[in-house]
Amino acid sequence: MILGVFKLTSCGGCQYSILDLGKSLLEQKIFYFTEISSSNLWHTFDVAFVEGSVTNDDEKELLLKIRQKAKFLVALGACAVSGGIQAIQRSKKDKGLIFYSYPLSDFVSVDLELRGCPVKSEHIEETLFSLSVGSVPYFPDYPLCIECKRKGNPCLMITHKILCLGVITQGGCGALCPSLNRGCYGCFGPVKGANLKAFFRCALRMGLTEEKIREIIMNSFNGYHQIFRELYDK
Amino acid sequence: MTNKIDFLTRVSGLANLEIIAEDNLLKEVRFSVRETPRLIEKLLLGRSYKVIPEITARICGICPVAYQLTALQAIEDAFGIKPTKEDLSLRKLIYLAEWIYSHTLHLFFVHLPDYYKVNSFLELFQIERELLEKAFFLRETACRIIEKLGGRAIHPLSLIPGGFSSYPDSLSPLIDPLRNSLKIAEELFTKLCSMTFPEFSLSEVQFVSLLDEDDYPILDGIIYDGKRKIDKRSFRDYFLEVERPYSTANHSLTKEGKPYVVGPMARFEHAFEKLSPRAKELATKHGIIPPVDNPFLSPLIRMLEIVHSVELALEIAKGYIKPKKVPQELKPSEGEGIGITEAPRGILWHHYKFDSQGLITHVNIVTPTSQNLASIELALFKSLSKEKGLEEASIRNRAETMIRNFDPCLPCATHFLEISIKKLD
Ligand code: SF4
Ligand code: SF4
Repeated sequence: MILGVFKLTSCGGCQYSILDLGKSLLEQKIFYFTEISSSNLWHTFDVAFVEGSVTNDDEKELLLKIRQKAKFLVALGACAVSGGIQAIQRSKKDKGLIFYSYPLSDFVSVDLELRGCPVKSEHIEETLFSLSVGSVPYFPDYPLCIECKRKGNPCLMITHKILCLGVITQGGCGALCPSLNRGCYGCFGPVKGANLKAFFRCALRMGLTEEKIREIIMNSFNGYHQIFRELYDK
Repeated sequence: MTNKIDFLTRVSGLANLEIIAEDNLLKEVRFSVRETPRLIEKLLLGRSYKVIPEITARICGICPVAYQLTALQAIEDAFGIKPTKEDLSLRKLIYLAEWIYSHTLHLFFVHLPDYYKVNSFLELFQIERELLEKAFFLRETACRIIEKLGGRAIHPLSLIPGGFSSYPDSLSPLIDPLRNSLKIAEELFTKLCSMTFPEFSLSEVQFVSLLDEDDYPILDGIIYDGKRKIDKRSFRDYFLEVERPYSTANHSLTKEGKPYVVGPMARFEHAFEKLSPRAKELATKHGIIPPVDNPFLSPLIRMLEIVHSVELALEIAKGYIKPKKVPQELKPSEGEGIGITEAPRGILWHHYKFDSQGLITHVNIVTPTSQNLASIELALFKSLSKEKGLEEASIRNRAETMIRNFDPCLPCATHFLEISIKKLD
C-alpha cells in the first residue's frame, strides 16, 4: 500500500510508533514521511496517517490537501482526534493571544481515529493489516473499565478512593494505569455514550469540586474532544 | 540573494534553512524553527504540581522520560522529598533506556542514510540489512525496558513524585535482550569506526554538561562549562535565552554571549573517564578520546553512549530486587523547585514555583535543543562558507548533515511561554 505520514502540531510521539512495525514497514510503500525520509512525494495515498492538531491556516490547508489525496485518512492519536493537550488553552485567551487547536474532524472527514496519547502501535499494525485484506479495522468501543475488570484489578475508585477516568474513557490501552496502581487520566479519550453526569456525581461524592473535575477532564489530553465540549462551552 | 530551503527533512519536527549571501559570499545562516508553539509552559500556570510530569512529557515524543524525571526532581526539590536509592537506580534504568531509544532512532533511522547517500533508512535496508536489523533490535530492547517499568514505551505511566506507582516483579526477561544488545552495540560501534567522516573543527564553542561524582552524568549533577562549576540554582545567571524573530524557538547563549554545545559531545568531553568499562575500552582502542570538536564524529559518540547505556542497564537489571514500599501522597507547600538532568540531547532544566496548595505560579523550562541552536547556526555558517556555490542542490545535503550532527528536536525547542513573534490565525 502507498502510505503518507504527516505531522501537524504535536509532540512527534505517535508518528514514531510507526517504526514499531519494524521490518514489516518494508512491505509498505512510504511515499511521504518527512521525519524519516528526504524523498517525499505527493501521490494518491492508500492510507494517510495524520498526527497532530490544526493550529493555523497553513496546517488547515495542508490537511485539506491530504484529504484530497488520501483514500483512507487516519487521525493518529489524541492531538489529531481531540486537539491534544494544547487545545485546552482556548479558555485562556488573554493579552490578545490567539491560539486554537482543533481536531482533524473539525475540518475534514476522518475515516478512522486511532486513540491514545500516544497511539498503540498494535493498532497501527491492525489498521494496515485489515485494510490490506479489504476489511475494516475494529477497535474496542467500550469503556476502559471492561479491560480493567478482565485483568482482575480491584477498582481503584472503590477500594482506594483514587479518582479514575476509566468509566468514561474508551478502552484499547489494556487498562495500563489501573494495572500500575494509578487512576486512568483519560489519554484514550471519551468513550461513545460516556455518562458524564453519573461520573460527576461519583467524583463529587469523593470530595472533588465540580471545577476540579472539569479541570481533570481538560487535562486528559482529550479535553477538547467533541464529547467533552459541552462541559465548558456553556 | 536569499536561498531558502523549505522543509528540512529527516529532522525531528519542522524547520527551514535560510542562507543569506551577497555576491556569492555567505552573510548569514538562519536555522528557523517552524514548529507551532504549543505554549505548554503557559498552560501549566494555575494547575496542580501533579500534572507536570504528564503534561511536560508531551513536549517531546522522543524523550518524554527526560521531561518526567526532570520535572519530578523539581517537584521533589520543592516539597522536600527524597526518593530511595532503589528508586533512583530504577529511574536511571528507564532513563538509560530512553538514551538508547533516542540515540538509536537518530543515528540509524535518521542520520546514517546521509553517509550512504540514500534518502531514508528504508532505502538503506537494501544495502545494509543486517546493520539495520541490529539497530531495530536495540530500539526494541529499549522499548521493552521502558514498557516493563512504565507500562508503555512512549509517555510511560509509573513515574510519580517520590518514586514509582508500581514495581515489576522481576526484570529477568530483560537480561538476555540486554546481553545481546551489548554485543550488538559493540559490533555497531566497531562498524561505524570503519567509516570515514568529514573533517571539521568547532573549537570556538564551549561544551557544557553535568558532572556527577561517581557516574557518567544522567540523573543529576553540577553544571560544568569547562572552567566553572555552576549549581543548578544559578543556571539563569550563566546562560541566557534570546529570541530570534525568524524562529519559533529561543536561542541560548552563555552570559558572555557565546554559543555553547550540550549533549553527547559535551558529556564525552567532560566525563569520558566515567563511561562504562566496555565503552571506555572500545573508545580507547579506536582512538576516540577527548578532545573531539568535530560534530561529524557525533555518530560515534552517540554509539559509544549506547554501549555505555546498555552495559549499565544490564547491571541494574541484574541486581534488581522488587522494592517493598509504594510512595505516599506528598503534602504540597509554598516553595520553588529546580530539576536538572542530562536528556539524550543534553542538559534539561526545569524551574517551578508553587503556592501553598501546590498550584503552579511560575514555570520555566530550558531544553537541550534550544541551547544548541546558536551553535548549529555557527557550525552551518562555518561549514557553508567553504562551499563554492550556494545553490540549494549543492548545499542541501551538507547543511542537513551538519544539522543532524546535533540531533535537534524541534517540538522540544518550541514550547515557550508566550507567542510574541508569530501571530497564529
Ligand atoms: S497524541 Fe500525545 S503522543 Fe501523540 S503526538 Fe499528540 S501529544 Fe504526542
Ligand atoms: S489507563 Fe487511561 S490514561 Fe492510562 S494509558 Fe490507558 S487510557 Fe491512557
